[in-house]
Amino acid sequence: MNEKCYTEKTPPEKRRRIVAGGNLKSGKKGFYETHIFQLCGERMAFNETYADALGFPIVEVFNLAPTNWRTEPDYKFKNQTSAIDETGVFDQFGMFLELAKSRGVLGEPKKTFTVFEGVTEYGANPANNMKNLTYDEFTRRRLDAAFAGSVDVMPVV
Amino acid sequence: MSQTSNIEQQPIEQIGIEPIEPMFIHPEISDRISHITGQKIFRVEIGAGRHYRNEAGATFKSITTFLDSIMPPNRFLQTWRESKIEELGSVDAAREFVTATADFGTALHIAVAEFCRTGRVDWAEFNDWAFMYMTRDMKLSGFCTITNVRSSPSNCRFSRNTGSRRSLTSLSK
Repeated sequence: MNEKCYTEKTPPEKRRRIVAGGNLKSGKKGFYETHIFQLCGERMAFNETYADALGFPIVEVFNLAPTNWRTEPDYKFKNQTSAIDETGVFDQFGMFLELAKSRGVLGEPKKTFTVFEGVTEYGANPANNMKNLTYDEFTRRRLDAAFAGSVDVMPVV
Repeated sequence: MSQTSNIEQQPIEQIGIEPIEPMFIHPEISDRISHITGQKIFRVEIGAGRHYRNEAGATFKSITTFLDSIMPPNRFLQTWRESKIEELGSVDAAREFVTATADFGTALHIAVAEFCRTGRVDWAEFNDWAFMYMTRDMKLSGFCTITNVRSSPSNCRFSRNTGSRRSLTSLSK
């Protein structure tokens, strides 16, 4: 994208192109701190995943949101790069990551899922049909079921 | 105590897992990242926040789920939620408003992807969405749902109904 909203007065050779990340927001009222944190994380994730393969990282990040279109299309477009890099958001995001690691928030959820399988005959103990599955087991079953075209496990939440 | 049903016919609220794929990747970069974008990725929402899982079974938290779980509670957001409940009259109505706003966000993403892909947006295909968005004052309950979307966003249609955002999962199929 162009670095700035150039007019015809700026010759094409003087227009600077940049690689940017953008996050569209549907809210009309503005951008909030959480949007900046999201962009920070998205930029980090994008660069970690794609920058080597692409040969370039994303540096600049923007929020875009439509505003009131009842008369004519309009939008808000804000460069949040300095908000991330110069106001401590990047550092805070890093701290949140460390906190998350230490609390075990990242990665696979610890939640377990109780499910009933098979058939409980009259007089039998339903507990015999009960199983506790880890998040991974439960997800894998559902994925397998999806590929097979059916779901045969009813979760008890 | 078991239930058998066809996963293709169930809404995401019941299945909790949907395959996802990019709406648009510019041809200039698609070859360079095909080893990544070629992976099957699933969005998993089964009662533990939104996660993404690849075929190998690696699970990743979404950034918003991560931030929600670790950032201090947003007092502004809570105040906004409470005022919305008061304004709309019920928790359900406020939830529907949020869902409808999310629907709009998804529609906007589709329009942008369509524009990037084809250089144009056929507004006849977005007519309900455009009409409703331009003529109402953000009272979006009963907003639009996209149906009949397969691999190409250009096939999408918006229809006014009370479907939830999850109906948009057909986008990624």
